[in-house]
Amino acid sequence: MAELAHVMVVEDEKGIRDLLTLHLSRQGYQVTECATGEEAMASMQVQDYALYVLDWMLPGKSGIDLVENLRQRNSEAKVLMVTAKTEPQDIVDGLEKGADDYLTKPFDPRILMARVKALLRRGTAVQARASDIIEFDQLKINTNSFEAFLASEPLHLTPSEFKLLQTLLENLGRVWTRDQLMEQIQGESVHVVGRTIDTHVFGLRKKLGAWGDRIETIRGVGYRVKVDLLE
Amino acid sequence: MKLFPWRVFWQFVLSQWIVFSILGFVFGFALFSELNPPAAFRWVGMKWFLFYSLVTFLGSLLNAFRFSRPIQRTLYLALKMANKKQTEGYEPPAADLFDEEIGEYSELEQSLNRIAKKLRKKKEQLQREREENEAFMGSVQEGLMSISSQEKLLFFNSQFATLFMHSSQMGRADLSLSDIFRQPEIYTAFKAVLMERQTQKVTLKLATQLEQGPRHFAISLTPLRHPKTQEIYGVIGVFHDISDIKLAEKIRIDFVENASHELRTPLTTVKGYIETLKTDLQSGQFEQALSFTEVISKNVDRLIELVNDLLSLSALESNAELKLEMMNPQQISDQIVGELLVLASQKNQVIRVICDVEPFLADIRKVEQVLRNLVLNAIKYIPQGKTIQIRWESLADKRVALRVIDDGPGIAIEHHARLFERFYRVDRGRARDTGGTGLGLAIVKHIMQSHGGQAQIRSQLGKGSEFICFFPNWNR
Repeated sequence: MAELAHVMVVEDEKGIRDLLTLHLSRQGYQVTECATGEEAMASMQVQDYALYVLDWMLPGKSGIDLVENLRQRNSEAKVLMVTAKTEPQDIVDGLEKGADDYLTKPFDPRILMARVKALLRRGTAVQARASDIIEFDQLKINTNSFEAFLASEPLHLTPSEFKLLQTLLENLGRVWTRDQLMEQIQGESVHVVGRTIDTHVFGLRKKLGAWGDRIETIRGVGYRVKVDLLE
Repeated sequence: MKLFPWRVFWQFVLSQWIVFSILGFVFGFALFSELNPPAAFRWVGMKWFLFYSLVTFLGSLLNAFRFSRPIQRTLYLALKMANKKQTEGYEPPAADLFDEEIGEYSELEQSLNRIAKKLRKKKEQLQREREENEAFMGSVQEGLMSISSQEKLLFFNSQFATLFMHSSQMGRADLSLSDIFRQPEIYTAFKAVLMERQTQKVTLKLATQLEQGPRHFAISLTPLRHPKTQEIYGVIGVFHDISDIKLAEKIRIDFVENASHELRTPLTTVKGYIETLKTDLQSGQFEQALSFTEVISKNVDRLIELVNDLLSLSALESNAELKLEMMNPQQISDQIVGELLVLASQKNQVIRVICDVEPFLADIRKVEQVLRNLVLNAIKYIPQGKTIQIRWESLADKRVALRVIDDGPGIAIEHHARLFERFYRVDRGRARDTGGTGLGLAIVKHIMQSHGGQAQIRSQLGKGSEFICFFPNWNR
């Protein structure tokens, strides 16, 4: 199913655009190229895309504006932002505006494809829609009974740790900022010092043992569950 | 008689007269008792006593007057020193034969004279110091002011007035802090000084009376203390305008961001295609290999150009010295045309050189760069078949103008103000395809400025463009 997914690439620099298209098409995805935000808007009206690979700095309508438009249309599409801005704050801004993951320039095309795959895999193999059970690589949790098992051994997680794990698993590959994680765990926008999340992650990692290595810390930004251990 | 010490005088008179009268009376009485004359003589005695009284009275008057005169002079001196108005328009009579040197009085007078002289000197010195202080405070660039602990304005220098005070406020003597500043942060800072008894430093954006709108200030507030009691009676404020510094910082930060983006873009392409090439070659796929290497090569060239321009700009900024030599405008124009002829002829473009200027002093390498950048821009951004002119002219005010004129599409006026900024592009998309670094005009501007001249653009959409570089009239 992923092979036929329709991907939109929005990048004003031709060399990079060609590069992105090259790799995406080699993996079998259908690619639509746009050089400006305006072109992208026009294409969006015409059809739906499973994934948007967006350059952040575009002439005219910027990547951030595009994402806002996307989310307003309630699109379930995934957004991978590609950016030359490497400051953590810029990345956090992008993620909070609605991007699911990010890649800084210059990038290794193999990592690009790993991220694309992870984003497109979500919601398919990991969780049967009606079920309360989420499984991934020997880890199994039950969102109804709040039980968690690693290789059939029960895990004793605190409610916060469970909620944290559930959030990360339900959205594999996605980067979560600390504020977003706090919201998920507590259910409302509470501006607690982000360090509380760090403590929960630390505790969770310990309990998960080797599996905990999948939880990736992105300095100054947040956390992500690595789908492909290639990275 | 002004300043005459009447009280002392009359005290003198009365005391003397009473003493003599008593003496006379006692003596007369004793005499009369002894002699016991008949009644008729008593009347004579009375008459003589009265006469005696009168004489002693007159004598007391004279004597008292003699003693009071020096006091009058002394009094005058003392009052003069105290600056009392009573001394105005009055000169004490100089010591005359009537008054002899009367010992301590004259010493007192002399001391008072000396004190008066010292006071005058001190006053002059204070006046001088005050003038020096005012000159000093008027000449510094910072705004200076002092307020009392009740927030009443005590002192301000001209710079402070220019920055923050309305003309209607200048003459008033009872201004308080709230009359001048509206921002609460200033009050917070002042209160902090009073409470913590220490200097406070804040950086604030304040509205000013100047036309440019709010500016950034670094403000230093220091408490004023009584030397003996250490009690704080006021605060001194120094307002240092750092807007230019902040602007320079912003420009620098923007530049770094822009440069970073401009560098990462070709690097992304290079990195991406090299990894792709590696993977392909490892798996035996050669079909696209050549086209990949071409893209890589083009982007490396782009990086080289960018690095060169960045270094060029950096060198220009750090070392603004010019190597002045006699430069022949015709010669360098021909040289540049020679360099760029191939490019121009590929687009069927014609370059003409018109030179009306004798050789003059300039930094040859740098002027070549100016000319190269301008002509290259013209070649790149105007369509096929157009004409480019290089004209050197002597102006009426002895300046030299270098004009690079093209009959291309022109540049809209809204871009003119920013055209010479680093990395500024009129049309990002097109500029990318045409190549170039976005630094060419910034370099031109820099070189012209270091020659003491300037660079300008004259253009309208549809009417071509003219870039003019003015060289000042040095040594010509």
